[in-house]
Amino acid sequence: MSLDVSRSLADEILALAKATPGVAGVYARPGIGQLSRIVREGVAVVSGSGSDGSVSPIDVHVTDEATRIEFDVALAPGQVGPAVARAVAAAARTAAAASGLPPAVVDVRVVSLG
Amino acid sequence: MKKFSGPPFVVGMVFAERVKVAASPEAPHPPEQQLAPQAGAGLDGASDGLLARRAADGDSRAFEVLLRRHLSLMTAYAVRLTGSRADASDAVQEASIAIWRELPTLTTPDAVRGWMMRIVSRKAFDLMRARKPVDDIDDEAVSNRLPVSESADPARLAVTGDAMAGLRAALDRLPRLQRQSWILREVGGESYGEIAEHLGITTTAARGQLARARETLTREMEAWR
Amino acid sequence: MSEQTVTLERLSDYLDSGRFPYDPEIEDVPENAGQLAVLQRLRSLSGRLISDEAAAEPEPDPSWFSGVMDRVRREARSGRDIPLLASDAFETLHVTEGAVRGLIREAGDSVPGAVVISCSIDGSVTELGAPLHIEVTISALRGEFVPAMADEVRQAVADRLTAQELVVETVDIVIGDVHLLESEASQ
Repeated sequence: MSLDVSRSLADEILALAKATPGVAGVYARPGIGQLSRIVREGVAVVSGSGSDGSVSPIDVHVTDEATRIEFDVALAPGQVGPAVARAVAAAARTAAAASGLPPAVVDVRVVSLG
Repeated sequence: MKKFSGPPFVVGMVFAERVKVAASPEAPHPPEQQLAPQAGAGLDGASDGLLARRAADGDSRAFEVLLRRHLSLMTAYAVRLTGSRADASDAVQEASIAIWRELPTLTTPDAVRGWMMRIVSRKAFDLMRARKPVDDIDDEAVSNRLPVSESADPARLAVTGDAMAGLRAALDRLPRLQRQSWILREVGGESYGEIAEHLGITTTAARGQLARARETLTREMEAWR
Repeated sequence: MSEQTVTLERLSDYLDSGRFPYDPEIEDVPENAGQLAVLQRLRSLSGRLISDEAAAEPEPDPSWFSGVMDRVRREARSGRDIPLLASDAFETLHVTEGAVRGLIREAGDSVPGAVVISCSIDGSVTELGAPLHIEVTISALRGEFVPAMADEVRQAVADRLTAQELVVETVDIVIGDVHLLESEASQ
């Protein structure tokens, strides 16, 4: 149940991030977080809960206290990285607040500046 | 070599001799034969050494230019070593990734091409080892079963005088280990030790394979002249 | 060949050494010198064989090539994470060192006559707002007035990084080598 909510939130954030001006691509954060997410979401993938059966690049990890959201973005040339990162983070937080999940803590990393 | 130091917004210039590491230990003076693109023309005209250093620094575009430049040679070398287009394609793919990963460890960027070829041979032999059963060592018997075309007849080649065709045919007739040793040594410039490691034999045995290859090829070459 | 007094292996090693130091036992004995010439010819033919075959190679399959490059980009050397100013404590924002290096290369390359070779970022990189020390090694086009070019590169790098809200304390420019234009080099 909570897995379904977090998955649809991930989908929504992905769409919002991609639609943010200056964003050229949205990627999963490589590393341990990605591994644990594949393990976690593997269940969802098997049971078909993921909207397209794949693992989202947006990591949404819900605990009792917080909803941790983590992902990477690549920017188009000529963008101001921090401004775009803040805009993307704000969009993610707005979506998280509307989902009814615990308070959001967002981590956005810019991996390319065009 | 000059180093220009200073805060970013100060117009004045500090002129100081560079004291830290030079770009390449072999070249204390700036080599002037370097090629680089016209301004704005991209990296296509840049020297191998420059592309290697940029790729080592994380520039995937520089890596792409470097790879495109040498891909056909890498492929031809891999085809010669594996005797198979499909295997060569796989080996070159693995080699390309390995080259990207290992570029930061390359100490002589200007010699990147030879270094890339060594990675190609390493990946080619990794692949062959993973695919083939161990009993393949009996290569003389395998080689003897291979059909030898009429054009490969040394006497006939002596008449046509086509040394390149002669070498190609002679290489095809060599037993596998001898052929691979020859290519690794004479094209790849690899050491006896490296050849031994690729072939899974001792250095002495690698020397032996090369000696036999040399003997056969020089003897046949006499006939082409 | 009965007169040949040294092994082919020794002849081959002698070739590898660039025929140096001069070995009279090889060079002055006609049979040995003859075999040396044969080996040398074989070696150059072998090299030519591969380069001929390389020239005959078809263009790489675009999907093969993009597959390789996708893997390469996925293994990007992202380096350290450099923090960016966030709106509040519920946000963590950063930019990778790799992204900043890309920006430095772009800035340096934009200056006519300069091509960036490499760059380094020093300072307390992982602390928010820490002053950064940048070193950019460039290849300079021969004939350009290098101090002016260095100044332009420094300014371009500083401008781009400052625009990303990074604090740049110093930008050092190192002239790593000098290059010619292709047209000049071929003369």
